[in-house]
Amino acid sequence: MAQQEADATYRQLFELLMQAPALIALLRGPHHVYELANQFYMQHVGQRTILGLPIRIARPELEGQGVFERLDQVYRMGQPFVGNEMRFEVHHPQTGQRKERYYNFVYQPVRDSQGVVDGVLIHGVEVSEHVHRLLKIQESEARLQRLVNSNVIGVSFTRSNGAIIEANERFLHLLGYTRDDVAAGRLSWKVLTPPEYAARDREALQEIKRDGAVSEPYEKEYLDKDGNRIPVLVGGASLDAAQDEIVTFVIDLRRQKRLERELRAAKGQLEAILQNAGDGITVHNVEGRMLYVNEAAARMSGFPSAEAMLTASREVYHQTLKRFVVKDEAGQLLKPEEFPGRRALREGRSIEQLLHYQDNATGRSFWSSIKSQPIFDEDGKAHLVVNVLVDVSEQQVLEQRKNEFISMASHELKTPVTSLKGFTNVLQRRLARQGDEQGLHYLSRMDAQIDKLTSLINELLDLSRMQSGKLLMRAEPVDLDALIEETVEMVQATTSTHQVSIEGRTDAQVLGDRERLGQVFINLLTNAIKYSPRAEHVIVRLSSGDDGQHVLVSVQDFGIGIDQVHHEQIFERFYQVTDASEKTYPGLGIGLSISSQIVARHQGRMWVESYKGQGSTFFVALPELGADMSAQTSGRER
Amino acid sequence: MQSTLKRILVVDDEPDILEFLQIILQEEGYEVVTSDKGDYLEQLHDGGLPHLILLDVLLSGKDGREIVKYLKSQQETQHIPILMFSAHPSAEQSARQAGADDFLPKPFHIDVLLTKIAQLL
Repeated sequence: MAQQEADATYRQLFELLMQAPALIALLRGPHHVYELANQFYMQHVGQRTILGLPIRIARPELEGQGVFERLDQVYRMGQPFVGNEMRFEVHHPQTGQRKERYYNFVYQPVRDSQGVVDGVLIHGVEVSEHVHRLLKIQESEARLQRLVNSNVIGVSFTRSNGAIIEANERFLHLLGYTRDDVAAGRLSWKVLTPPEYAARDREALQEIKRDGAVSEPYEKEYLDKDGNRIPVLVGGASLDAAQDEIVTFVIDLRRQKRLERELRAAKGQLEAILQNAGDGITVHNVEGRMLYVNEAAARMSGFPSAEAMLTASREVYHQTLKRFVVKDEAGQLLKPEEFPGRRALREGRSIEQLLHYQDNATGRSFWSSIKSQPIFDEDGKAHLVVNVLVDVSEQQVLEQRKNEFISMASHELKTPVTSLKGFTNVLQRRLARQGDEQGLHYLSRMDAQIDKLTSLINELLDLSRMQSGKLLMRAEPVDLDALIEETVEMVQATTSTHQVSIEGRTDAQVLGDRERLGQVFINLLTNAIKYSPRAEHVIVRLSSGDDGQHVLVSVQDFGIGIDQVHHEQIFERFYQVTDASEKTYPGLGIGLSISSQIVARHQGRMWVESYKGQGSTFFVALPELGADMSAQTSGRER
Repeated sequence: MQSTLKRILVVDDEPDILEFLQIILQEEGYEVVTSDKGDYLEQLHDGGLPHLILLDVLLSGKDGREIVKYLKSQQETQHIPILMFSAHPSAEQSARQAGADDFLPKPFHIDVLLTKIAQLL
């Protein structure tokens, strides 16, 4: 009975061992043949066949890890082996994957009835997870230590009562303390913090406690040992809630704060410079709202100050601006949409214009040179415009005086020329009566030179009048084809070297000043002849423009041509093509300037196509006069 | 014979201009009276009125256009054709507005002047 009970107990124990969540195996004999292995062990070896096999054959993967040797030793010596946190590299039999595992093992010698060792019982518990956790903690502690020691940022360890128990060099250096101060317990949060930051610190502390670990970094100031305020960014984290310890990370913001201060100062200086600039500066957005104005611009616009202009109500703003009558250089009233700022935004390019302002309220008037520069957004759209207004009244007065001088001088020049021509005529008549052919020939050359002199004087006079906006132009319907025919006939009479031909016709009228337009074509034709001394032909072409709204007149010569670099400037006043290799031609360089201005006053355009040595073609495009327009506008002065 | 000659009064403040005009106009068979001042005109009534007046627009001390206005407002002189000339080509408009019958910019070719005189007489 007792035997039966003992058997039952043994079986229960055996079952228990077989199902225990530990590695249990019994190895028999000097070769450690597997006699028994529990379920957990079998799982551990991947259900391989191990029973009845010596361990060296059943578990070849353990070779070299000291297992076999230890088993031999236990078997031989009869002493148990206890190994904690033993590291094994286990590879999965099917996948061959290597894994790091940790075990607490006991190798227990098993003795037979005579007390002789004839086997080893293996009992092992896997502790990998525990070991990994420990390793991780060690690793993160090492990392923290490295961070603290690297002195990249200031680090301090604080009790929640504020006492600083440890700090790195960076932290101490920043605040002018030493390690001794820390050791002596002289450093605490309270000592380091100006009173106004105490509340924010408490908040952060609560944050750490509540949210368990980390506080949002925030800016504050510390007091260093000498009482100076040091701007910093701090963030804290609890290391161990039970131990009540907080680590604080501190970043020195002195440099950043200084840069901020300097930037603010520089911005302030820039603002001061802009505000006090003698030139007016305004910025508008695309909706026309004023975003910026400096003092000078505000005063030019009739406001007492920039502040007053920016804060003015819509009504006051427009009422004040309405006081001004604005005209362009030619004395034409400027429409709101024609202002340079609007055009710069619309056309997406820089616009420069000279404008005359007359303040009807004060009677004051001034000339302003306005440059409007569009500013583009990321999409390349002009969304802002910067206007720089320079009061050029003084220059304009000088310019006006200069023009008056030219006007007066050319008038004074004409009086002697008139006498010269008159007496030349007297002599011509006398020599004609005497039949002195040679004398007459000389006199006709004198007369021609006097005419040239006269036309030069006239050009100067025209130019000064054009500049001062005094050149009046009629606005009458002009039959373009007839005008061209007449002009060609007239110029043809003055040349025996060139044949001027007309190709095509426009059958169109243009609105303008017949005489002035004639002057333009005379200028182009005489230039064509003058600059093609070796050629024989000049071709005038008439056509309707591609857009159906303009007529096109071109004058082509086969002469010396004009280099591309001069194409823009030849229409400027007094510009002459100066090229060392080129022969120079007489003239004041104002004919084309006058012509292009006359064309512009007719809302037309003038340009040149030419290559050096290949002749030039000058184009004049003029707006064609519609039949309905001619009735209304005929005879009106422009 | 004397009575058939057409009398032309020339007014300009430049003596050289007066001189060459006098030479040529006399050669062309006109009786020529010259003056370097506008004042002369106010005493015109005494010795026979001219058939034509050539008048500079800008005279020293006097504006030729004012003289034209005056002459054209007087009954005895308003019928006299007046040709104005000027070194300012743009003076044409104001000269005609003042009442000048024709205008010639300075300098001019004498043939152009003679044609205009013939037209006006």
